[in-house]
Amino acid sequence: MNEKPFGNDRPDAVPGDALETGDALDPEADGPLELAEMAALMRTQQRAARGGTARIVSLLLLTWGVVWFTGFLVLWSGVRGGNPWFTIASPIDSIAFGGLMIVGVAASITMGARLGRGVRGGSATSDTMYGLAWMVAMAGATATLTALIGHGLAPESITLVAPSIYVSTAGLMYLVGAAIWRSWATFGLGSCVIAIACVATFIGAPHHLLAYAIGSIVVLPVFAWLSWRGMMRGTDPTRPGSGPRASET
Amino acid sequence: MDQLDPVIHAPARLRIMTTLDESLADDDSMTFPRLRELLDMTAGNLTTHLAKLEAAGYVGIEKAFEGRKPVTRISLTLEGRAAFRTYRTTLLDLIGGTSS
Repeated sequence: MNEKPFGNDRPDAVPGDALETGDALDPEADGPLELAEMAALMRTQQRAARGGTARIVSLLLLTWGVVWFTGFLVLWSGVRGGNPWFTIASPIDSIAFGGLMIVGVAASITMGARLGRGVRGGSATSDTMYGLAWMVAMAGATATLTALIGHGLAPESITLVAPSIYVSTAGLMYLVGAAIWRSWATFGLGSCVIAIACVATFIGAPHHLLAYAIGSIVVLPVFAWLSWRGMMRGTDPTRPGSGPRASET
Repeated sequence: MDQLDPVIHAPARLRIMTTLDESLADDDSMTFPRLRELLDMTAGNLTTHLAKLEAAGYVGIEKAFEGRKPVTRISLTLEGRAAFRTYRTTLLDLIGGTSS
């Protein structure tokens, strides 16, 4: 019986042809190289497998760095006593900020979907739950803020509490990610993001918005670069995308 | 001298095992087209080498239907992961590198 164990979900495969069954190929023709060449091949493949994820995470962090920087700069330019050089009229500032956030969320969903493409199992479930946790956390932050406003939170407090609650929640989510992937670099990212929220709130209105803008354009690109260099990896050997860096093997 | 596992000691199979070890947790599986994309190998070549790895018990191959579409999923068995890591350590020891 000519059993075809797999491969017939390939669009280019014709049932029974050599390509589908692999009959035309001799596996032994792919002979081993010198030991050093085999080690180099393994390292190259390791970097290639890890690189895709690292680059997507890097782009994601860079995107949010730009989105937060631009968004908070726009808000700072819209409040009285903010930007001394030019003013953006209300509600254009809020609309622009909202639009930028939508761009960031859309980029996150698009890039996040690429991260686990074609993979199913425990780690995919964990990644999906982490993605959903972001949505639940942000929805919770929005609901809490809405409730506070409903209970009469003063407008001057809203301008301080609103960005603080969202940015702190984002920082907390990075900390959760750090715990999942056992990544100290991601833990550092979460801590820095929470620190930005604290420092900005201590500075107070209206220049807390500038503090958010500067903080995000400094911190997020730094961690984007670390991710690009493969330094955001976790150390849990049971999870994909974890374990020693290519330079260590 | 430590012996290198002959099943893994072929460039294509080493690339496959490295990719699966890097990309999958113990209970994960990956679709054939995605693995092929990651490796940039021809479908026939990948099929042939996966059959060899499956025969050694290093990978699991599961055929199923998702709706009406046939899907082939590849997983790395516990034995396969252990064999790959032993191979990696042995190889790096042999060339005087640092094993992990």
